[in-house]
Amino acid sequence: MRIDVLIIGGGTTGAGIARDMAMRGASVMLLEKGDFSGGASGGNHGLLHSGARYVVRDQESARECAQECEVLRNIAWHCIEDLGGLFIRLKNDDGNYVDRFEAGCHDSSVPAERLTRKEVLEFEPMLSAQVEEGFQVRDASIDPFQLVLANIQSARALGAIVHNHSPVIEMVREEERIVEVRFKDRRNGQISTIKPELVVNAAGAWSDEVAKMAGCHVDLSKDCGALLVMSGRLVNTLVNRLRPPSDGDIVVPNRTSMVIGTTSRSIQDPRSAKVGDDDVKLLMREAVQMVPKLAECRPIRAYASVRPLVRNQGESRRASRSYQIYEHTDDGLDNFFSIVGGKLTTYRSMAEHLSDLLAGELGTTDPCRTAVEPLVERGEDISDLGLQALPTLQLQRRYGQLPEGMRERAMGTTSARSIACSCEQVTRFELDHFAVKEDVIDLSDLMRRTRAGMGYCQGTGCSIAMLSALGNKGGSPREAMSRFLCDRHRGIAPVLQGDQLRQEMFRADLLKGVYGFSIGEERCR
Amino acid sequence: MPGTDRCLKCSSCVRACPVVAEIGEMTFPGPRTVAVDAPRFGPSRVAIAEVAWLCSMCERCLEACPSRIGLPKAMLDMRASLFPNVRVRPGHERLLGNIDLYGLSIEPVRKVGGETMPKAKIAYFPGCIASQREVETMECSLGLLKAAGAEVEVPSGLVCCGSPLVKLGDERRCERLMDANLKILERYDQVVTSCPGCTVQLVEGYGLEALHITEFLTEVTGTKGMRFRPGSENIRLAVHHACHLSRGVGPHTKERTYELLSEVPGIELVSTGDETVCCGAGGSLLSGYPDVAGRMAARKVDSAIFCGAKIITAACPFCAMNLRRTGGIEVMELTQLISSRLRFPGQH
Ligand SMILES: Cc1cc2nc3c(=O)[nH]c(=O)nc-3n(C[C@H](O)[C@H](O)[C@H](O)COP(=O)(O)OP(=O)(O)OC[C@H]3O[C@@H](n4cnc5c(N)ncnc54)[C@H](O)[C@@H]3O)c2cc1C
Ligand code: SF4
Ligand code: SF4
Repeated sequence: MRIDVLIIGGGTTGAGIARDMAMRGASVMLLEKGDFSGGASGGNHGLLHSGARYVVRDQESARECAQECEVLRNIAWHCIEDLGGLFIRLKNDDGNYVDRFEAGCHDSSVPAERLTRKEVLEFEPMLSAQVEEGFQVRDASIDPFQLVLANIQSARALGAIVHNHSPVIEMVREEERIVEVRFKDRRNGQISTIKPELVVNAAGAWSDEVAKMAGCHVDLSKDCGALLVMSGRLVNTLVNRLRPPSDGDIVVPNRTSMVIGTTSRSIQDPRSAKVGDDDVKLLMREAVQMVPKLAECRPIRAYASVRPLVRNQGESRRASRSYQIYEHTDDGLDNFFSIVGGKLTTYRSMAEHLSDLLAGELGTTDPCRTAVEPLVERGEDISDLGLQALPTLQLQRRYGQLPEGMRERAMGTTSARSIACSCEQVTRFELDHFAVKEDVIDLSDLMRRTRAGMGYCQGTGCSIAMLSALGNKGGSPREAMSRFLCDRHRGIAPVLQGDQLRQEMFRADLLKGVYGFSIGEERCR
Repeated sequence: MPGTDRCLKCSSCVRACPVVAEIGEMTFPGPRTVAVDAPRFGPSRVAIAEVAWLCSMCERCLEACPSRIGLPKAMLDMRASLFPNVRVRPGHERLLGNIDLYGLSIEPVRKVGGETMPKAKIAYFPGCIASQREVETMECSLGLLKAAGAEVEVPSGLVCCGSPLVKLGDERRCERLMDANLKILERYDQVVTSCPGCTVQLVEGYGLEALHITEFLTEVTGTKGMRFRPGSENIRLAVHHACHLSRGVGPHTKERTYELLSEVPGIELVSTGDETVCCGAGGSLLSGYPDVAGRMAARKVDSAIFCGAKIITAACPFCAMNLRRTGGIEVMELTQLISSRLRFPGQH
């Protein structure tokens, strides 16, 4: 089997390259060690940047975001909630920054409309009375899980081979080429070898480790950012603090919650990414300054993910200040590429940029089409499923179009159309549909595809339905459940207070008392 | 929000809901989805409008919720926020039309109330149903009040109390009605009602001293003045506790109802076990979804018949009207039932 391009890493970057190259006619393979979006791609705010956040410090990034957020509005329409954003200055914030911000927006072509205090508060009544003025920008919220899945679905439709739960464990180098790449399929423990023409390292915070397998060097420092998920929506606009970017200055309403971000702490190993007590306190303290009512709001969970920061900028080919592409020629390799950094918002243009290089190597002349061809076609009518309006709308929001075969599942039985997760309005047939897919071996995999289990009850209502859809697939159901509960518990533990403490006690009691599943903390460590 | 952040996803409310029990979660997703889940969806919460009026406001969910979340109130808030942009059900449209034309939720067939200047200290507030459809309820209530020695009168110019509009989420129209009623009712020390929906609205919405007639007859006047016909034939009677009475006004009203019934000779109470289950009339369900309200009423009537009752009684003219629609059993509003056994039925 001939593989033109092997991509390591199934985040936005890797998935974007897979689609791009598959569209250009290359034979593509993508390997992801865990599940898609298991890295930073599933651990960010879900903020589709208008660019405004960068207009003062990094106009190149700002311009790039401003362009790409419009492209994504078109191609990834189904997973974007186009809410718009506000940048607000509070009473004691530096007024000089406002002029620099306005000038920056102008210079980097980021649309921004200046609003008076009154206009800001009319727009978002829940904002602090301390607000002095603001700008309206074109931020939006985006569902990163669905974005990655849609890229992968599109790549697969064009013939790409994509495996999750398949870590690359070894690379064999002969002279200036990687000749063999070995990966292990976690489903069966089998180790396979492939001989790709070109190898792309899109392993995010792990890209230094992957580079090491190829005998070369990417010098990363790693920065861990924590985020806090709050229940419900106090605001329906993305709220940013109008000051130089810093901790806890973003509130992103997305789906059924608000995400507050983020913090910054340097760490060594991306596996040790973790939310600290201080992180939660800091995020709350900052965010309530913008939205005071957040203080009364129920935290659901917290999570952390890792930004890879490139240290040896000197030798990198500076595509943009925000991301780097290495051709590793200094390392004596000529078929290995690393792409590190960037943003979710700019994943497509990053992928285009690297794919141009790859296409050059392969001698392909097909132009990039990812900016114009939507990931998912518009206009499917699913009213005939007979679902209520709210779940119908959520179904469209999740997939845009029903994935192939899902309609048949939905029509199978009446109970298939029942709601399995009421927090996120997920139907049973969605669980059934994905449960039989090869990609899905665990409850968390089901969750990332459907959102079941992501809501405020964190699986109290739906985990049994998820388990029953999955059957014996995840090995022993007891073990599968225990893994899932522990995974959820890790996110809940940092916010274990008030209503979420009651929730967790009830969840533990119900699942243990009725079904005998325990979430003992010892087991989770 | 009335504490909706406290939800634990225990589903007690869903299991308690009589509408869910009748038509299933696939048609009405229940109080948690309408009150707790839907509001979290931001702008797309408006999709819940499709089912948000399918609740009878029976407050069973409130009783069932271990977190004491104000689910009915939260659903009303949801309705109120959706109302301005929603296309209302045909039945609701008629109701709103009647309010605009007559100030009553139903088309009037008679003029009610004579007193323009208060002579008594106590006003009887008949409400739309007892004044226009279940007229006997009004007449019997007035009769019982007089027999019990109370000086009451029916002021003229009263309009709908606004309760149906609160249930629909139409705050604007409701305020207009309240202004009109308040001008009249302010002049009295006490208001007595037959319809528990009115009682709740007059107490909570208007802040008036209002009592339901079951309360008034037991707590204020007592029943000494009522003389009953001896040797009446026995009747096997099932009781329906109106939701807005037993949960809205308060659980003590159940005792009050039995107290009154215990005065009446020849009553043989039949226990059905579902006395406090909703008949489906309330919360604008009867006007919006008469089919659902009918099915819920039929279920209650069936269980009364099954238990051997010959008559079913409710201390609410609205419930009585809904139960009667099923046609399966004789239905008597409570004051009507009591009056039928008075020594001088013509007391009024
Ligand atoms: C806290 C935080 C908040 C952010 N917020 C935003 C935001 O709001 N908006 C925005 O636009 N951007 C945001 N970003 C940036 C954005 O999340 C990232 O730039 C983007 O997700 C990077 O995607 P990626 O595919 O390069 O990396 P990742 O998503 O990390 O993907 C790398 C993948 O490689 C896999 N992998 C590693 N080793 C191997 C191996 N040996 N074999 C196979 N696979 C392997 C990993 O499992 C992982 O899935 C944020 C970043 C952080 C850290
Ligand atoms: S008030 Fe009654 S009908 Fe309405 S949701 Fe609650 S239990 Fe159901
Ligand atoms: S009964 Fe209360 S806590 Fe339980 S699911 Fe319903 S609203 Fe939530």
